[in-house]
Amino acid sequence: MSEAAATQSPWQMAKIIRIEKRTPRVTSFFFKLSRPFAHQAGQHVDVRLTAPDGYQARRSYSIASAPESGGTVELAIERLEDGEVSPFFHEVAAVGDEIELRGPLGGHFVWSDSDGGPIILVGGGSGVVPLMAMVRHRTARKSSVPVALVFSARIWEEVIFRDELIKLDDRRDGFDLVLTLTREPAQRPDDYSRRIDAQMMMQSMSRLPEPPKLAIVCGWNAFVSAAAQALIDADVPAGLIRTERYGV
Amino acid sequence: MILWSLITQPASAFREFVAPRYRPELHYMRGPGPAYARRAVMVGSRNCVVDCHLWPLCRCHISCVIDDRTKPAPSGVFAGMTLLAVVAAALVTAALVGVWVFLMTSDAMAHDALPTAAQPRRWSYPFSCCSGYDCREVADNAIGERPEGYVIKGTGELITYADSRIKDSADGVFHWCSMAGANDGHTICLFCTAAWILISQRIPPIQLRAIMDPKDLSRAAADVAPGPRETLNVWRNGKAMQISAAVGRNSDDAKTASAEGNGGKSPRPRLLLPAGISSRTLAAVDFDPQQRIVSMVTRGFFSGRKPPTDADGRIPPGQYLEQSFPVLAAGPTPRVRTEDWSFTLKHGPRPLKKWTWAEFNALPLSRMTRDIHCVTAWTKFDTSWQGVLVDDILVDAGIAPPTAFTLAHSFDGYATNVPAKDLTGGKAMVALLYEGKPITPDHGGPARLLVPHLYFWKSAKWLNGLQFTEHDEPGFWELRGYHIYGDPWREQRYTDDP
Repeated sequence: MSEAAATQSPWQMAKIIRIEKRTPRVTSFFFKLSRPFAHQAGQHVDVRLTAPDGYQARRSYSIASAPESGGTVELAIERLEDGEVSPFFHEVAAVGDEIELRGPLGGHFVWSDSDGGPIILVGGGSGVVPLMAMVRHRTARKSSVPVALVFSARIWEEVIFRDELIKLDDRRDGFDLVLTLTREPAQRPDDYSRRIDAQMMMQSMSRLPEPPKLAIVCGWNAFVSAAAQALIDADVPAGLIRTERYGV
Repeated sequence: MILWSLITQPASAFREFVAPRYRPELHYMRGPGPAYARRAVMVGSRNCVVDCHLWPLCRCHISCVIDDRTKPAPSGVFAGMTLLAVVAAALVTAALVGVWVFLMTSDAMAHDALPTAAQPRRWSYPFSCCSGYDCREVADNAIGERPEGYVIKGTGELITYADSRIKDSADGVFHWCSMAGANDGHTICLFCTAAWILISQRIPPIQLRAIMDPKDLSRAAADVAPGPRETLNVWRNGKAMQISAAVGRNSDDAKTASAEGNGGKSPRPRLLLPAGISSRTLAAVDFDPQQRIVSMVTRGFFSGRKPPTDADGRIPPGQYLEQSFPVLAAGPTPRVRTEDWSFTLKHGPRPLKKWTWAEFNALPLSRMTRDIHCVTAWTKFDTSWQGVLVDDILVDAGIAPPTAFTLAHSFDGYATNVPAKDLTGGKAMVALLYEGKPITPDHGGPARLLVPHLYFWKSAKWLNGLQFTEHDEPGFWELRGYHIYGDPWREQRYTDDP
C-alpha cells in the first residue's frame, strides 16, 4: 500500500520515555503511546501543548521510527530559534512528561516495501526524518528494494542519524547513502560537498540497478524546490516525485 | 467445420502475432520467467488471447472465451510445426522482441501512449500490468468480496487473495487491468485497497505490532495458543464496523491441513474471521476512536506567542499567526506558461465553456482581502488577491450551478472538492494576482482557486478547471486523510474530525 485511506486518529497522551541528542540542533524524543497505532513510514503526528491559561500550540512532526517499532514513536525535533514548540521540547521536556499527540496523519508522503522500487530519497536537514522511517522500515522488513538516500546537511556534525546510516550503508544490501555537506569538505569517498544539483542526482541514481520508480523529497521549502528541479533535470518524470515541505 | 477451425484459428492467431493489427507495443508484456508475448484477438466473433512463449520453445497457445469461460481453443500449439517454420518464426519474433524491449524500456513513450483519462492520479500502473492502457479505475460495486477472494463481477472471475495479480491500490479505490482493456477481458491485475492491521492487545506475541502483510498475520497467529473470541473495531474505506475474531482451530482447518499434506500434525492456530472478511481487507485496532481526551495542561509550557490583541477572534482554533507565506504542495512545482493556460468549466464529463488566458483576463476582475488558514496550523492575515469571482465565471458561461458540488482541477492532476455554495455569493474567486503582482508558480500561478473561508488546501494551485459533480467527490487530500469540507473554525482538519 502506498497511500492510506483515512483512519481514525484521536488525541491521546504519550509519555516521553527516552531523550537522545542527535546533533547540536536536533534531539530525538521517544514517546510511549497510550493508544498504540500502526503508522506508515513517512506519516506524521500532530503535537499539542496547552498552557495554564488554555492557550494551545500545535505542530506537525514526522515520525522517525519504523512502523515495526511497536507502541513507541520517535520524533526527531529540530530546535528553531524563533519557534514556540521546539524550544519547549529542547529546554523543558523531560523523561516522564506526558504530551498530547495525535496520529498517524498524512496519506500521500508514504512508502512501504510492498510499493517496491528502486526509490531515491532526498532529504535536507531535518527533512531526513520521515525518510529515516522509510529506511528503517526497509531494514525491519529485510527488504531488498534498492534505495538511494541523498542527504544534504550543512556540516558533518549536523548529519542526523549519521552512525546508523553509515552502518546501514556498509551492509551493501541495496541501501546506498550519499551525503553532501554544503559548508564543509566531504568526509567519505564518493560523497559531495556542494548543494544538490542534477548531476549529483544522476550519479546517485546510477547507483540503483534501474531508474527509480519513485522519488521522495523532504526538507525546507527552498531545498525541496531545488531538489525536485534537480530530479526533473535528471530526467525523473514529475509524476514520480513526492514532496513534503516545511518552513518558508 | 471443426477441421476447418483447427486450421484457421491457429493460422489467424499466428498471423496476428507476426503482423498484428492491434497496437502491439501496448500489449507485449514481460511475464514472470521467460519472455512471452500476449495479445487479445478476435477470431471469428470470439474474443481470444494469443499467448506466445519465445523460450524454450517458440510456441503459441490461443484461448478463446466460450460461454463466459476460457477454454483452450482447438489446439493452437505450434510446437509441432516443421523445424524450418519454427526457426523462421523465432527470427521474426526475435526482431519483434527487439522492438518490444526498446518500447518497454522507453518510459516516455509508454506514457505518451496512455490516454490521460485512464491514468490514476499521482501514481502509475506497473508495466507488468500491461502499463496503463488496459487499466482503469472501477467502481467499488464492480468488484465483489468473498471469503476466498475478490470477484470481478463483469467476468465472474474469482481472484484469490494470494493471487499475485492482486496489487495494492495507491489511492484507496479499485483499479482493474483486463486484456485489451475490455470489460469482459481476463484480469491482468487488480488494484485493491490493502490495509494494515494492528492486532488486539490481548493476543500476545503479536500485540501492538503492525501487520503489513496478510501472510504475516497467518504466520503470527500460528504461534499463538487458541484464545477466547473478542471484538475488534475494524475500519475500511472510512466506515467502521465491529467484528468478532479469535485465534483458534476449527474442523475446517483440520481438513485444510490434511489436504495440504500436514495430516500427521495438529492444525495450526489461526485468526478466525467471520465469513466475508479477509485479513487482507481488514484494518483493526482495538480502541474506541470516538473517545476523545480533554487537553491537560502541559508541564512547563506557557503561552509565549500570544496573538496580538487585534487578532482577537481572527485566529481559528489550533492555528498560529504567520507573517511569511509558507509553500506546501504534494509534488514539484509545475511551470505553466500563460500561452498554454486554459480554464474549463464542466458539468460531469461535459465541457460547458473554455477560456484562454486572454479571454479569462477579459472577465471582470475583483479584489478580495482575506485571512487564510492552512491546515498545517499557520494563519496569515489580510492577504490581498485579485481575480475573477466564480459568480462572474458562471455569468459569462450563462449558467447557474447545475449541481451542488464541484471538483477543482489542477494542471498537475491535483483535485479538491468544494460545495458549489461555498464558491458562489462572492465567497471565492480564481485568483490571478497576489499583492498586485502575478502569482508566482510556487504559490499556484498563473491562476489558483481562492476559497479563503476553508482550509487553504481547498484553494487549488495551478487551476485549470472547475467541474460540477452530482455527488460530493473527495479530491486528492480528501482521499488521503483530510476532511471532506475543511472548515477552520470547526477545526475540520482530518477525516474523522466532526
